[in-house]
Amino acid sequence: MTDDKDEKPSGERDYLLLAVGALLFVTVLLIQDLGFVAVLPLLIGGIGLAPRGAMGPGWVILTVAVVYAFRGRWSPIGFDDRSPNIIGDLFFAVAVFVYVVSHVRLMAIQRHAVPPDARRERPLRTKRLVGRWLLPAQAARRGGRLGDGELVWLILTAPVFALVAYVLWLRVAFDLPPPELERVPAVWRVILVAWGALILLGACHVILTYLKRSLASRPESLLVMQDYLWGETRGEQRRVNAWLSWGRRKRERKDDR
Amino acid sequence: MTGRGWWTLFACVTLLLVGIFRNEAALSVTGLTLVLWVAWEWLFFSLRVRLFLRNLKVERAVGDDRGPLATLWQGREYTVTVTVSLAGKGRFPYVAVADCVPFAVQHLDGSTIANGGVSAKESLTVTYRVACPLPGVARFEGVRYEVTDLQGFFAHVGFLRNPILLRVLPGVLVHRSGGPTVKRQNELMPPGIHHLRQPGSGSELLDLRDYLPGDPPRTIAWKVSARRDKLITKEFESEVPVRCTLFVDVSSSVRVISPGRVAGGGAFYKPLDRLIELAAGVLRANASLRDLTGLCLFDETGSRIVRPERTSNHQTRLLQLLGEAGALGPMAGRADPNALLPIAYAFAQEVYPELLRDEVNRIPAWLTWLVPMPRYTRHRRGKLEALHRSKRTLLLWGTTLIPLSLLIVNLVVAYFGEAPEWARTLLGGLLFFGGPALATGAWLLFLFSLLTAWRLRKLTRWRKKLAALFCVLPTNASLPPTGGLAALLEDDDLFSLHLQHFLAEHQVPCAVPLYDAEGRYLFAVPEKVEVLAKALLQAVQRGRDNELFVLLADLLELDHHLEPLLAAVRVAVGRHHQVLVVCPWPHGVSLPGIADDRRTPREDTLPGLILALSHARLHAAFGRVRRAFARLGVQVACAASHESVPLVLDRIERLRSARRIPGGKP
Repeated sequence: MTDDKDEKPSGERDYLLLAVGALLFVTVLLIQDLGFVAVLPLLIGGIGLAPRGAMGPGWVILTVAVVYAFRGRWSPIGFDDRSPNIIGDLFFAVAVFVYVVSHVRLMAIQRHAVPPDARRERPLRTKRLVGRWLLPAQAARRGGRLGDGELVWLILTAPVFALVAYVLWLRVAFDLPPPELERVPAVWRVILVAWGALILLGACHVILTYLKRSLASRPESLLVMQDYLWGETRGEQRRVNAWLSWGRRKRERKDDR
Repeated sequence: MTGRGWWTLFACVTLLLVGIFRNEAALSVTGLTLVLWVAWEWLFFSLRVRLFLRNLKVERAVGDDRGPLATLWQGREYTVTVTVSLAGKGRFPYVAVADCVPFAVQHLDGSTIANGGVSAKESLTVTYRVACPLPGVARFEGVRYEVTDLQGFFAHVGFLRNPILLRVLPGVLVHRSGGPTVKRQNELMPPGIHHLRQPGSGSELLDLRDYLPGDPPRTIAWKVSARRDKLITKEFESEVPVRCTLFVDVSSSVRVISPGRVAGGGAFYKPLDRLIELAAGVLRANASLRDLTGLCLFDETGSRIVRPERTSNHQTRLLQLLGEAGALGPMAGRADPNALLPIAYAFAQEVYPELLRDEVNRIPAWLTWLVPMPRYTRHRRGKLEALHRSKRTLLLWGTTLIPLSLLIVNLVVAYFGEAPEWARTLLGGLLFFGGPALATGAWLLFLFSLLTAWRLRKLTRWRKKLAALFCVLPTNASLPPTGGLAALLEDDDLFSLHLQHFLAEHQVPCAVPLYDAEGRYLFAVPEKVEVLAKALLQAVQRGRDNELFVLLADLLELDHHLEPLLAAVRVAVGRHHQVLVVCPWPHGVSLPGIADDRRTPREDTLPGLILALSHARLHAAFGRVRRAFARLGVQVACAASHESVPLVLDRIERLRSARRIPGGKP
């Protein structure tokens, strides 16, 4: 493994530029709707992108959500009365997407990609553990080793996700709620989104579980079958083995005397 | 999912909900975009882990400058190179691997971790250097890997098992004696000193002596005879090599780690390591002199004999046997398994994480709360555990049996009506007041034991998971998968043995309990004396003239059980063989007969007094062993850590070179 501490990793620089550019673009789009308040997400994002920044993109997303939540423009009836700005919405979604992905990947390069293990933070008690288990590991991803087409793939997939999301949003937004929920269509939309997510998650879960079972190794399969057998017969087995153990101990006590 | 992933998902869902409730299309579309992206990353990562992770391969090479090796040597340094790659399709954008250095070797330098992308074209390589401080077996288990996506939202930790066992053969460590101006001692005898001091019919001159009637004229040294004016006869060396058989004790008593003795690199020293060093040194010295050497490894269950030979293949085979013997760990069936369970479970979690998951290896939670395992145990572990074991019985008696009995008694008394009034009042009071009080007390005890038995529940869960693991491991054929699990859960001794076997097989050093619940030392093993005696008699039976038998055995704790061995030694000496006994000497104890201020414990403190008493006990035991063998003319030496192989060889040499008077003793 080469030591590339001396050279600045190109992945770190690329993701930083991408995140800053996307954040600025988001700010420009937000200023048109929010005014000077749009600077707030920019500030928080800037702190997070700073060399030792501790804030992730989650804070920026929450800031945008909070700012919009208390903006005062709230339309209670169905879809928004304003003329829909499809291109603007899509651009906003793509910009936020690019910023979030870039910032998160930058965090993986600068801080840690794998979750830090609390055990690794403890000092080693004896020299015997040096080089052995629970070594403090380098958890950060080396930025100089970006995969082929990683950035291009990011930029190309951003509009795809935005388009798919927009189509789904149209489906949800134009769905007529039942009579009981006509006054609060937002609740019906939340129910639709949650229901769709649950179905999707359930289907994925079934597929992944099937894959896991069908590709399980021999010891794993043996363990599963052994557990089933033990679960069905553990009462009887426990009784028999407990008596055998008791008998053996009794014989040993007699021999010890 | 990692903390970063959950936090980001939470933020995205919040954005989506705010967009829905505020009817903001931009916000809703953005939130939905991000949620879809997280879902896509999750699905993609999960599929990649399930489909491609099993193609991850690890290759390892351990060697030196000349290339990879299949056998290592004690005291030398080697380079370990590990390569992790993906066979077949797929790519992992980020994998962090950490190689696990075995406990039998010492890590010198180099990083044991690497990270990066892995695919068919990309691989990760780890290179580092190790040294082998002690003989035994170095078991490289594999590499620990952590796979994550580019964002660090999802992570999967696993262990790529690729166990490789490399024997570490004993090296001959020549120790310096004295300062730098003193020449080092050699194993090989200096030139001019005859090593075969028995007269024979060889061609090398051994000695000169006076002429005896009957000596062949060709052996007369004419020049020396002319100078001395009397006939002098030349004595030639015997060309019959000495046959030597080493009996090495590999029982549990010599496998117990010596307290406070740490070899270079942090490996724990055992008396067995010293015996192996001695045996290896003697073997090499004999091989250089073209003497035949055999080996017998014995313990409390049996012995394994290799007859004396002198080829290089034979020497290598003996060294391999000694190296394998050095890897053994102590085994005692009556050791408390709860003492070994934490370390065994921690190790299994590192090396077999996929076999300890709840999906494939689980115990119902209610079972650990209500059912104690095992039902019967010899180990007393405190009142809380006793309460945990008997809580259901107490509850049954307190809430049902006793109140029911009281009720029946009251009914009988009321039906027959012959009891005095005070008795009926008492019984009624017991039933109406005592019964509920007893039931309440029983329930309180029951709840108290449930709340305080969290450690026992944890140990029960671990025990069940490890027991299930032992039943499916391919190296463990003695346990049937159908009934072995229940047997391990109910039998403490069986589970303890399997735990120790598991730890020993994976070369994990652990502090095995030395005493059982009754306070008896677990590693005394007097049975090995009979095994040794039997092996010695077998060797004598098959031996030829004047063989040398070296008994490298720990007999200090067994001076009252030596009769079978003494009888066997008597037979050996009676057939004109030579016997030498070498006992491993504990570290930190002064040698018998030698005053050493550095090792004299203080007697004004309690630990010092106990230490002094134990030293005195050891010296007395050594004295008894020495006296027992001295009656047979057998010398007993102690192989303390500072005694080098040449010293032991010198004693063997003196035994070899003892003159023989026909019909008399050497």
